[in-house]
Amino acid sequence: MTRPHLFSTDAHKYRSFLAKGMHSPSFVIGGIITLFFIAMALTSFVWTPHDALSVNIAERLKPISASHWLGTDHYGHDLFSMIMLGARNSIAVALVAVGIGAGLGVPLGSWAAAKGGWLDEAIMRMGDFIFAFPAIISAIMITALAGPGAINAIVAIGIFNIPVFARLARGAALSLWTREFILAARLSGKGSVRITIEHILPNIANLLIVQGTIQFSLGILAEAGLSYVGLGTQPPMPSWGKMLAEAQTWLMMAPQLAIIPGMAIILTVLGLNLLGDGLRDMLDPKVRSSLDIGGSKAS
Amino acid sequence: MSLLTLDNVSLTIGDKPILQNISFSLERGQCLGLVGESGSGKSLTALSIMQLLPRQSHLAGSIHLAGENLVDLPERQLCKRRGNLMGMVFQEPMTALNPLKPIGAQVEECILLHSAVTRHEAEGLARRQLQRVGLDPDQISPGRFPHQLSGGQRQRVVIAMAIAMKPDLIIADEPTTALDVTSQAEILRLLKDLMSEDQSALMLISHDLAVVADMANSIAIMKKGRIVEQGPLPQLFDSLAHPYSIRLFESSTHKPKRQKPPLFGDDPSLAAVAPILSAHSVVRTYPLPRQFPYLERRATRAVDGVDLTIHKGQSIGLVGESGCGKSTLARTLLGLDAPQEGSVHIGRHDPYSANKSDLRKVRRDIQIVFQDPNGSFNPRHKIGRSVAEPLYLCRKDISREERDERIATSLQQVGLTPDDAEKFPHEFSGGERQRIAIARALITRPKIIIADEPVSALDVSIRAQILDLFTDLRDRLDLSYLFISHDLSVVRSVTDEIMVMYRGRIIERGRTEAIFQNPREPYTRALIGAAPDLHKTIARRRKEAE
Repeated sequence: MTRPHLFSTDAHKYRSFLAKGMHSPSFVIGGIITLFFIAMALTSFVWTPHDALSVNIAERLKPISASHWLGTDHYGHDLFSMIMLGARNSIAVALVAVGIGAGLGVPLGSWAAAKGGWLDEAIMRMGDFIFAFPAIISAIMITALAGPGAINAIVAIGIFNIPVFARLARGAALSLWTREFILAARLSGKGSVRITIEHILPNIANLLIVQGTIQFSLGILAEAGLSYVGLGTQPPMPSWGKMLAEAQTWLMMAPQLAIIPGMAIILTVLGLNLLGDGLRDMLDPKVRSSLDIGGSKAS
Repeated sequence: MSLLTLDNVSLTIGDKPILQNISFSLERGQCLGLVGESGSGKSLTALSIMQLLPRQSHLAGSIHLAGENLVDLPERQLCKRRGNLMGMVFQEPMTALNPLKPIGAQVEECILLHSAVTRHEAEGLARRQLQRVGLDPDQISPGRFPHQLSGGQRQRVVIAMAIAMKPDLIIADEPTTALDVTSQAEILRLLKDLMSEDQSALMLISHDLAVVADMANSIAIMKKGRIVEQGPLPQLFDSLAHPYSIRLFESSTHKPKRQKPPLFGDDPSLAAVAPILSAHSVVRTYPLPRQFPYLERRATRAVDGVDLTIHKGQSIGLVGESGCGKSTLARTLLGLDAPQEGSVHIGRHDPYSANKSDLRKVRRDIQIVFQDPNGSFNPRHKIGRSVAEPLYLCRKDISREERDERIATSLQQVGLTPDDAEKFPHEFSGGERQRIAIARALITRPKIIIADEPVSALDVSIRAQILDLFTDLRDRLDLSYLFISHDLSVVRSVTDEIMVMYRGRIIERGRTEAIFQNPREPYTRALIGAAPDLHKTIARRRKEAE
């Protein structure tokens, strides 16, 4: 007799959450890759094999060896140290960009869902307006106007994350607003802000987390793209995108200079996407019900 | 040889036993009723016959349909039999139909799959099937989409799909549970007629004994995956032996006992006191989408000039089919949806013009119990927090201790324990959740509770308990009710007066018994006639048997 709900998020399903995650290969592999890069970024604060910023011409373009695990570039920078610093850089940029996107997008989307009417229209049409331009081209435009740099790159990527989160939050919140427990809360005299905080956000959090993971990987890609064209992170700070751009000149002599940062980008994005897929499988009841035994008919 | 024979069928899913030793048989042209509460394994019995079981399930025993053991057949062979030899009608017609396909095409699909006909011939056959289920293709085009039909019409389409190949066996899994009583009666009559026309066997699954008693030649009562009792009708009603079947029978005919006498609106003692809730010519309209730019926007009048007055201690029923404006009226009375015309008063205040502190006082006096006990609670909050939510209205004058005390009292009033406050909604059954919903309504000590279809999502056995609870609480706490339902038999037992609503208007009102004895409007008469009544049905069946 019970209807399966889009948001049937029962607490008992969370107790065995991690245990269940261990059975999902994409969650495990994605988690390991992501954790590896995060650990690398965190370690770079206290230790790197060599000073990644000091120029050492004598050691330039060294192949992979015991002292330089991934070799050196044309200034004699240790490549492994640069990758570690680049990981820190990429993760920081993507994290703040997703933070901006979620921090502004989720409240805007929830607000649009709560009020409806012209405000909803206005917010969502603004989102459409931003969506109408290719994100990376516009980010290039913004950084070109405001001057290159990590901060401007963060802001530019963040702005394009806002409508993504706003749309998702609005859609999920709209279907929750018609539910009966929300009506009960309205009858208790609670205003829309309080209802959103108490009832809406906890019930859409899982969707937002999954989207956050995906946007995080897109943020890393965008940062690498901006740095590649020289509008992102500025020297001497290393960045994966910048390393790729500089390696072009030496592609014939030292191909590992391009391959290694390229691999780093691919692996991180792949890891985050796998993690997002794994989380979605575990959190989204529509997918989960097909994995669960019994199916929806038995409930 | 029987058409369908189940012999010692047991089913486990994962390592959970679902069905144990189910055995029954069904002859051609006969109807078997499968009755039991939700979760008793009725639907999985049906799915076992169709061999549409979820993954990881293990079936033991044998299921013979027309001499073949379905358990041994490979999937390819089963596909030829599903829809051809056996058809199925589901509970929720909206989800059983593909929303993107015209209804004619959906019926055609089944015909094309199982017979060698051209598309054009199939179209003609589909039209004939739609005609048979009462959807005349000249009036209701087969090109329509499911959302353009009413619930009853959609169920007719599902039936047309099930009977398209004249299957030997039709399984109807709660075919009328999602429908109004009026459409329920029509759908049941239709199934009966089709069955006798095609000489097919019908397996009718329902939680409602009254529905099955009307149709079935024999009946099997299920509980926890076992058949506890089975036999032919109406004889079985004389010899019910298992305690569960007796309880099921009793709850189907149950009438809550009231201690206090009914209180009618024309009672002289009420003239002097102000009513708790009153509404004067309330109109609530919803704008329709513009037909054409610059053309004036038209609107549907969901509630059209409704007057009502409820005094302290009164229980009023509001009855009508779905879409007649009952729920809209409830929302308007609660102060959630402002009316375009007319006025609403809770006590002395109008919830739409009262200032904030008055509004808070007003809201304490009026509470609601919703239909769906699953959607009534935030799944991430503990029960205690959900129950205490209305106390937000008196947050300034209630301490933490008093809050906890009130949660405990409310839970006890509805027959639960104070410890239940620490649990999550999913740990309770549907009936218990509805009790919790009532506890939430009681926590502000309201004067009136609006109950919007409070028992229509519940099994018959639990329905009786919840109605008892409503009656008991009314006697103890001197509550008023506005009891909204599409089912007159539910309202009859708990109300003093009834209002019948049709297309946004109240077409008839009066004392409950007077209306049942002597309905004036033909619509009211139809509603009363459609409500399933177990005693009357059994009496009729006995007469027929003689």
